[in-house]
Amino acid sequence: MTYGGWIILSISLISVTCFMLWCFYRVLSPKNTAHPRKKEKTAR
Amino acid sequence: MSQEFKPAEQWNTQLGAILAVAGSAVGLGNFLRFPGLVALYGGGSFMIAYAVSFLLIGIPLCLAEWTMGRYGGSRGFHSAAGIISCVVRHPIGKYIGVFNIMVPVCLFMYYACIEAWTLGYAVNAFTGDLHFSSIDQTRDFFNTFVGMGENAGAAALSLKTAGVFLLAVIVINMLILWRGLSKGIELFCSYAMPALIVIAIVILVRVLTLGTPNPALPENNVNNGLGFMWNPTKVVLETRATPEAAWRRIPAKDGGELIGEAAIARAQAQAAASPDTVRIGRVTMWGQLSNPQLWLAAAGQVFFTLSVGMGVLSTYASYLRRRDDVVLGSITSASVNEFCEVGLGGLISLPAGVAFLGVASLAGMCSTFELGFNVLPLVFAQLPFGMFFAFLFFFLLFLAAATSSISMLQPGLAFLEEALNVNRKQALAILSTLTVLGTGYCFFFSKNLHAIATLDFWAGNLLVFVCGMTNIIIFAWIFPLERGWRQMHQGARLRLPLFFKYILKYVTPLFLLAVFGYWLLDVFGVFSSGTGQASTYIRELFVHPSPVAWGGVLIMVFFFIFGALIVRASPKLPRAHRVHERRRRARKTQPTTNL
Repeated sequence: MTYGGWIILSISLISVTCFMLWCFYRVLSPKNTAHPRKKEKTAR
Repeated sequence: MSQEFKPAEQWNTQLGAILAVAGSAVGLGNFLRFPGLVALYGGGSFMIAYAVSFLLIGIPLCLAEWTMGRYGGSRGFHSAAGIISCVVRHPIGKYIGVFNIMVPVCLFMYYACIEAWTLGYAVNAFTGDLHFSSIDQTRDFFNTFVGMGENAGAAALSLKTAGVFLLAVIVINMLILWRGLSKGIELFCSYAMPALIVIAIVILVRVLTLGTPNPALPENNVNNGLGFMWNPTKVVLETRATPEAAWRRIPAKDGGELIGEAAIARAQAQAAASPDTVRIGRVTMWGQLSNPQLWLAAAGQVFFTLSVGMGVLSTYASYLRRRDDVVLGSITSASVNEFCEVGLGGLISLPAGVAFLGVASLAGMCSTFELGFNVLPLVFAQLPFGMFFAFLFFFLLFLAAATSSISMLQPGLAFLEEALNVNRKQALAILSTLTVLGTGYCFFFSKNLHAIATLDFWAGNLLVFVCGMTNIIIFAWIFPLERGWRQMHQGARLRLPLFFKYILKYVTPLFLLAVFGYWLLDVFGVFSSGTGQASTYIRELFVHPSPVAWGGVLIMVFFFIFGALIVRASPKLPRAHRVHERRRRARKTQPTTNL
């Protein structure tokens, strides 16, 4: 495989994996942590 | 009175809904179709077109269908007929919705047959009967297994033919659906999806550690397999008969694609020996991106892999709660599909194939069926503990196919429950009778897989594309977009950037129309390899009429008319488009009565 192939493979793999993990992190994290501004409003 | 309908069925958790939608999206295409396309269109170049299509077609369509689904669900409608009727607020909506119900049901008819093949291959690997030593043996086994030689050729009661497994697949699907939405589909996908990913990772590790399995053939290795798929620039061998003639590319299956330093050095020596007739050419990334076929393939793959345009996403989303996050949910399920496709599917089949068979042998066998059922059994047969890995791989394909096939029947079930006012089990009895007849057509006309190919072309390509385009136009232009945008962000933890509105309104419909237009021109022979002939599927309807081709089309017409008649006779659905107005009026009058 050429360097170009490795670069594209790495970018594709890292991006899809990080994208999925980030999405699941957001899905599984408690709802208020996602909206600091909203949390602030609620606290007030 | 509460403004929200309390549906009889709901997802237990949002994670369950996400896994169910991801299960619907992850299918055979992720593990077999995608790697073949990437290799055919030159790795890196294809991935650029694929990423652009994913952002401009995949994500917007997912968002639109999820949003419309939850909107319809919160008004008590779970079938596409009710949902679209609610959204467009016009009686024609319910007939448009019938298309969204008919398509997945027709897809199920042939998908169940392919699912049966995966189950059959898994069982045969388990019993150790997939030991092959040549590609001819694997082809013979496959042809007998699916009944390729003659109609109804796979009907024998034997583990070496698909008939028994088709019965098993239909029973498994019906049992899961019988148990209901949360206890059936959600529960099954909650176990099947993680299991699928774990199995795929085990096989991936095995494939990536293959190295060079045969030291006598050092060019057949995993590294070259990865290069075959992912190298952005293709190095090709070109030839001409005389110094005056034009250069012609040697096809990859005849050794025309050069992967690895040794192959390139050998070709350079050959070119140096006869410079007038042999030369090495390079097809750059930009050169490949200028090929419209590549964009058509990339857009088509994104479209089909995400299960958009089938009415499945909107039906699944209609069982969400009003406050569930559709933005995050749709993006997360799409991300799981992309991980399975690029991260797992893109690294298993072709590298393993090249490591054992070499680039030239594999190049002509990158189609879904050829790769999955002819090449890979041969690869696994040559591997230590090969039958174990073959079993794992085909079981993985079976899980991927099962999570998709159950989703194809849910829109039909929701429709029958809603339109005929029957319970889930009665609806399942009606739907299973009808789909078994359609599956029987695909199974019986097995010669050259004619029936499967016909339904795949008309329902799996044409109608899916038409439904997807209709859905995005309805969402962006008729809903209208402002209302859709508000609905989409109700309960959302993620806010989409505002420019996404313009993508939803202009870019996605135009991109889809362009791809569809190009596809139609291709089908009618304007671009088809210079022959100027329309596609076989068109010719076998009008030029050389074939009963099997007409049978497939008539099945789809029958389902549409059947659905339209039910919609017309239904006591609930014709009022769907009025529900919104009635509820809006009720909301307006409520404060007055309170005073």
